[in-house]
Amino acid sequence: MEPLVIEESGECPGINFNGDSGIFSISGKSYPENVNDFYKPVFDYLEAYKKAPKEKTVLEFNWIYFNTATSKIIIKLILALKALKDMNNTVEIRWICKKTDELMVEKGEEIKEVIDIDFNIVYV
Amino acid sequence: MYKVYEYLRDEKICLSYLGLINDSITVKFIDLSDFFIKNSGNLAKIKNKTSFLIVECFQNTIRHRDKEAKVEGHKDFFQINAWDNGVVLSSCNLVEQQHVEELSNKIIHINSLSPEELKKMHEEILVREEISAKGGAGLGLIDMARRTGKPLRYNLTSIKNGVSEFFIALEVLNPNEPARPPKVSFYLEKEIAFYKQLVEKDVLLLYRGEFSKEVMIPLIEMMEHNFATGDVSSKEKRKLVTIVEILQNMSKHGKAVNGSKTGIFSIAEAGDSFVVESGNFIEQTDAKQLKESLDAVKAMSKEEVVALYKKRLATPDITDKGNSGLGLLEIARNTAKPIEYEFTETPEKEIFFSFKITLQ
Repeated sequence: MEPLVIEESGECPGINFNGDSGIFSISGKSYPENVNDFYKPVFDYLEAYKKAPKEKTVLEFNWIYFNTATSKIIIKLILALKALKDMNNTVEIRWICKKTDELMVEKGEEIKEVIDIDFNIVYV
Repeated sequence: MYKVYEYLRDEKICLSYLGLINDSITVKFIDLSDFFIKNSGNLAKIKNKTSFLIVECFQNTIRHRDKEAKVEGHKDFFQINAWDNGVVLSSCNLVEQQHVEELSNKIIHINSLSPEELKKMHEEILVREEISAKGGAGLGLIDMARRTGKPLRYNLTSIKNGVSEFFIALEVLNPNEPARPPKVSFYLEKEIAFYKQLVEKDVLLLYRGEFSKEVMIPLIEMMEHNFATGDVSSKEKRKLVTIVEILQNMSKHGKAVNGSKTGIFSIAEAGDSFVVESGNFIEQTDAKQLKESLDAVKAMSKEEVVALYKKRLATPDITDKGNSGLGLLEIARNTAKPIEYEFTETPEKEIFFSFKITLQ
């Protein structure tokens, strides 16, 4: 499966989704005016991947900051992967941030609270 | 906010900046001016000229200001104003008393020269290749005069501590268009008075014009540079995410009046916090619901706001426009003082919505 790579720019994050390794990462800032438009290829890629997923899938977030509409996208991405878990595959969410980054820790914890999946806040 | 908006009504765009000035800020200004100009067909011919002058103006300000000098009542200042047929760039920086006469004589001399003489003077200086300790070749002012094709409009006013304020305004007109409306011809005095008001209110940045993604990104990045150099800390990020929500609300829910979604946005320093204000037109039909949402949020404690935020977060629906229902809650979580708002009905029966929060 060809990886999906989008370079980080202005209000959009960097995307690196690798269907062969099962490692998907998103990093940087995210405040596109219409999140639906920006994230559409990301959701399309996940749908295609789900047809032949790896045993283990890791979704990594390494944010600088993001807008509220992006928080909903994050939840949607996690829910899209949850279907894999229901198919007995392993799914891990990694929320990478600095321990001192109180805001990103808080955002991670809030998301962790509202979803039911392996969600690890990884301090760097 | 409506008063300030009205004050600037003749202008298509006004961006006043009194924050940190460095090369990355210069780049953001050029991004913004390119966008303004691109959107205004009449101005395409002066795009390169304008970018060039922005760089010169900024470099003059950066080079000649005395970093140590903090004088009450002064802030380094840069402003772009755009009309249908031209752009005015103004800047203000401090000049030490001992250089005032020299500077003033230099401008008087430049203003007395014909375009041919200016060209010759420019060439002579280039050949000499001397660069002063401050890195200037003495070409900045000559270039400014050459590019605008007009005498330089300036003002030197002595203020405290043996320094003067040097205010300069450069007008770049589209060569194919007649002059600006006569209404605003005394802009130098007007701009100086406006600058004084901004300093008094400790304004860091004020923008009046169209609100769109192309404007928002450079504005956000400019504020990011002001809040932090290098890594942005959590405290700064909280300010930025709040400002992002305010600006996106304006561009999403603002009403286009006369074909453009214009509004006003400002950020001012107030001790250790920042006062953020915005103003834009909204649909009459949206006003009632907006007021209800605002009053509901205002009546909640911070804990209630957070609880509602989490509840909405758990429902992953986003409208086609990309709305999450979380924006106002994010703002309410982060403001240090209660949200203030006001609806003003304009003589044209439009509804102008003013909004104010404080970030700490």
